Amino acid sequence: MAGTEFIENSPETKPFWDATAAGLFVLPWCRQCQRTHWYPRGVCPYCLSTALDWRESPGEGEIHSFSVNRMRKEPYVLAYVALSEGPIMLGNVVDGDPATLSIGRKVKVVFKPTSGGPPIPFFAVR
Amino acid sequence: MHRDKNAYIVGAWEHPARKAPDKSVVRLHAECAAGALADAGLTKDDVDAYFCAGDAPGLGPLTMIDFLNLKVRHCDSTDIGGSAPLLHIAHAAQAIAGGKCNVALITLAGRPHSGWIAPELNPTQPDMMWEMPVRHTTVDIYAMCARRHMHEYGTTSEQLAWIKVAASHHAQYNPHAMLRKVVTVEDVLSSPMVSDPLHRLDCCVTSDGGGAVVVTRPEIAKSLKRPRVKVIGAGEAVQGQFAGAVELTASAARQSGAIAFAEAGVEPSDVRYASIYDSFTITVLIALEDLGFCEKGMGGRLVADGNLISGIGRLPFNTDGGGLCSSHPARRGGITKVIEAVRQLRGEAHPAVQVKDCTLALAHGTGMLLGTRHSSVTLIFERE
Repeated sequence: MAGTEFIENSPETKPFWDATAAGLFVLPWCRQCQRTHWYPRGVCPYCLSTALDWRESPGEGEIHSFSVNRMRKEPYVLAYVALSEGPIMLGNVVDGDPATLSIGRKVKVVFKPTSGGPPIPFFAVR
Repeated sequence: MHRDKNAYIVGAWEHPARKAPDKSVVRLHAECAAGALADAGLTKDDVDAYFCAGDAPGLGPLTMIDFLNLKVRHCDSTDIGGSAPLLHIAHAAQAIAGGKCNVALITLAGRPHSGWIAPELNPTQPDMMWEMPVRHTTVDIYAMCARRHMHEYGTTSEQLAWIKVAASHHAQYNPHAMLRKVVTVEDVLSSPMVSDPLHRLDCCVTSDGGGAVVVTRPEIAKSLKRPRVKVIGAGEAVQGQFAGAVELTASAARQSGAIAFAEAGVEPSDVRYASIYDSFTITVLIALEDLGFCEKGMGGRLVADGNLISGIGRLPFNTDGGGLCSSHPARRGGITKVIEAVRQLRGEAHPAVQVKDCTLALAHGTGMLLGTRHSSVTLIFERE
């Protein structure tokens, strides 16, 4: 997966990428309404508070839905993963045979390198 | 909205081209504008409001109004993806009712089939940091919606295929349709898998072309010689990922449809013809459920066995062949949904697909991507 593009467009999400560079997966946590959300955006989408913390997550979840793209040389899997903390996150499922996947399958965050940026969280079958 | 203040669609024209490599996008917009104005019996100088979306090059109305040399007192370029022209019709009706304008022109055009693609996603969007690296294409996202719908409700690929089959039955009568061959469920299922579980024939075509619509106030509509198509209900809604509580099997059509039906004072069972945005077969199925044509989860049964085929089924849809078979200009199918509904209400559809006594029609648009971020706009029209 080398060559994956990294796009940096918001200073508020820097702690997320500092964490992935250290091999950690973190989720935004709102101190005001005590909820976590996805995707990280520097403001709580439930209450618009900017009092956010980053909480370390085991990065575990299960496949909510997935597709197997067969238009390119090698098929690749896109999935919505329901994290154990609640939010449903868009990502790729890598390191597995697409034929063995199903909704409900347990997956875990793995980090993949990008070109010129910090590693990006993808998912592998647990 | 008081009935007397409702607006009318008096001009509707679809560009016949499906591949137009020798024409600029602005030229296609201009040809659509001229076609719709001629259809209405109006001229460019009658136009005092103009609407376009992101398919128009440049800074929306600024570029286009200058290019078309219009003199307007109202404009709007709200871009919510492929359903934008339906939103523009709703907003034009509101502006007319509010006394802001008299004759509104709405154009859509593009030529993705010959290689000119208007960028819709850009890396400065806050969501793109999280989405572009995972290489999500439009079909992948809709494929996930389809798979989840199958998981939750038992919907099958065969049922989805019936939507394409119905569209192809209609497209055989449209000389401009890109895919005129009637296909079977088996044809759809044996076409190559693009993004599992969606096959190539679950997808719409990519075409050049476009269309335009003219909306005006009752006094002007009544002075023209064309059959009158009245806008009696309009609803709009936008749905995102709900901060992580993503919904893949239900759309903003739940809101847009409820608003439009309430405003029109009619029920789904009153609808004689429906234009339903059909970027993919699953887009149609989810919209039909959310608009109330059947209970949630029962869309597969609703569309099966030819039930969407004009003259055969209970709910004739997309009788021009739709995006699935006829055209999807600028990768946005909104304007053609309105145009075919107008043809049906005027009795100007192809005789083989014309719905008898078509007095009430619905046009529904789904913009951008179900799953991540999309818009739904529902319009209800009545023949007067």
